[in-house]
Amino acid sequence: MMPRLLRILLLSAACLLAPAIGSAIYMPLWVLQDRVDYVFSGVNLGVRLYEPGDTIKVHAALFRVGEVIYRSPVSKAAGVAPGDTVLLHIRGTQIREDRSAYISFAIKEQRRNIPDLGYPLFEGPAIPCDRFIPQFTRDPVTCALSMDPAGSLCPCVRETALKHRELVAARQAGSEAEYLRSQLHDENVLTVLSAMGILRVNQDSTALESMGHLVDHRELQVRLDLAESMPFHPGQAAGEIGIRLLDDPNEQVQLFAAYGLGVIGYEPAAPAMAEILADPNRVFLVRASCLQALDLLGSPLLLPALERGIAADPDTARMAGFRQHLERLRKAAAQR
Amino acid sequence: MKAIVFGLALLLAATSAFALTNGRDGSGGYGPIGEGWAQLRGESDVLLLQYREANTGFGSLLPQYSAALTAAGAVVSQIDEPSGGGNFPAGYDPVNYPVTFVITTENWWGPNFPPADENTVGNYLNAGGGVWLNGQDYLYGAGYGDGAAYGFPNMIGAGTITQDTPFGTGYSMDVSGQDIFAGYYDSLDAYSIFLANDFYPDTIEPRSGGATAFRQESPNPSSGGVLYDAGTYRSVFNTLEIAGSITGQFDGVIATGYNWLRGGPVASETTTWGAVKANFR
Repeated sequence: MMPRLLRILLLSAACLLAPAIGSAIYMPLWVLQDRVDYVFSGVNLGVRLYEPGDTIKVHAALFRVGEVIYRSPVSKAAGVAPGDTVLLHIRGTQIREDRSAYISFAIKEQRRNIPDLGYPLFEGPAIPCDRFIPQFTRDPVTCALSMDPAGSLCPCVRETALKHRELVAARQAGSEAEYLRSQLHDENVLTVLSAMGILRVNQDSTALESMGHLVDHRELQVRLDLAESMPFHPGQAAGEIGIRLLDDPNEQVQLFAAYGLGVIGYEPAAPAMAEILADPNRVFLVRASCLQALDLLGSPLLLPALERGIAADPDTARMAGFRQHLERLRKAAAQR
Repeated sequence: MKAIVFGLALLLAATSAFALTNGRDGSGGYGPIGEGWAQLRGESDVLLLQYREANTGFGSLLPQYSAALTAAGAVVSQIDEPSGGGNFPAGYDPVNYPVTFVITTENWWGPNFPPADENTVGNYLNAGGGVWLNGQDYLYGAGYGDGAAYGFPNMIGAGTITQDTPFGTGYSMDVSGQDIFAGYYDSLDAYSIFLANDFYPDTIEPRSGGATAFRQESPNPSSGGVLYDAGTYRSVFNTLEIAGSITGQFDGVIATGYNWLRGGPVASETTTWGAVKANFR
């Protein structure tokens, strides 16, 4: 049996250089075998058949077709594509109603193949590429969103593009969210949510700097996403947001905020968390999360707050775990 | 040939419900592969392992579980596992980590708890550990079929498995506790914890020597979680995501399970210890 890479290369070469031969090899294999190399070769074959005179190596649409069946194998195939010259070609005319998926998939493949260059080529009747040539140096997702500032792009395209938030550098996420806020109405809040998702990826302490106003957003999911993004962006901006979210009306947001403050180790949040820990009227798990966060911080405020919290809480059974922490902390303090 | 390929493309695109989604019903967004991270403590009572392959595409339950474990008195080390697993801390054994919690959240892309990690945790159990595995799609992701349980699921208490009962239970589910969890009853909300999925609970009946720990009461009454005391180790295996309600009794259930698991064979038996220490007074 030939090594996988060799099979891929040979089958790909056959498909690219001689579609007839390639198809004779590929089609039966595609039908009979669930193998990544056959799928990959099939993609190349499809490209060749569609665009015999083109330089395109990988056709995003066919990649997606492959992914319907071979979700994981095709992703792997994309990863091994000879892709330093890959240009993604979106054929909006072929499946118009599903253009958003084409774009999003293209973005994904773009990232996997040429992660540092990021020059996507979007082409189609609704998205003439020459409008966006000046944008080509921008991040792929930003580019996708900027392609249609007038708004003729289907909102679902924007949403889908933004769902690939891993492609947006964290440093751009803030400005991107600002852009979205300026462009979109509240009914497009899903898009804003996706923008928030951008923040969950690349660690960058400055990424949350322009997001502070969202702590008061009326949509719960926006605030939840904001809180959940904190561990990915340790720094003052995340910390300040976290402190404000500790008093969010929703207990889930409070919990994520306390947890996030502990993970990023934001010392200035200690007084606020100590107050919550000591307050028996706050949600119990939020108090526990504050306990954990203060413990992680090594805060001197923990011990007195824990003592006050236990003393003030009438539910003594519930305080059993807190008392264990108290004993442990007292023992540790005595040993110092 | 061109026409055939084009026809196939259209046909397959028409069935694209699962193509770009984290949701098992085709909804939700496609999430990126996460990098994962670890937060280890010098001394820990619990190792909390979260497996969500597409880290930002599936909801994180670390805040809920770590808070509940902290509320129970545990010092928690936690790892948000990157895709592939295999990231156990140095010195992973029942002495350094008396209890291990494994959560797969809504991750249904498999294997969400890989076979190599099953082996590692299996060895840990045989050394006297205690494990709570919570995940509605661990069995699906790991590729276990319906019927008699085998391998790791059987080791942690499953006797028979029937997955997705029914497929797509919805976002709301009532659950109850049995055996050591008797008295627990809660209404769970998938929207409060998952980003892309509803509940997809499995039916698992306990193996010989095990017991039902959690039941789905509605919409499809069935056994959804089991517990097992093997003598050398203890385990809880639950396919109902009880983190779906943090204002209910989630913390109490986790505390009960944590205390039962750490009360296994490696824990000190206080009476005996008292007698031993008395000899040296």
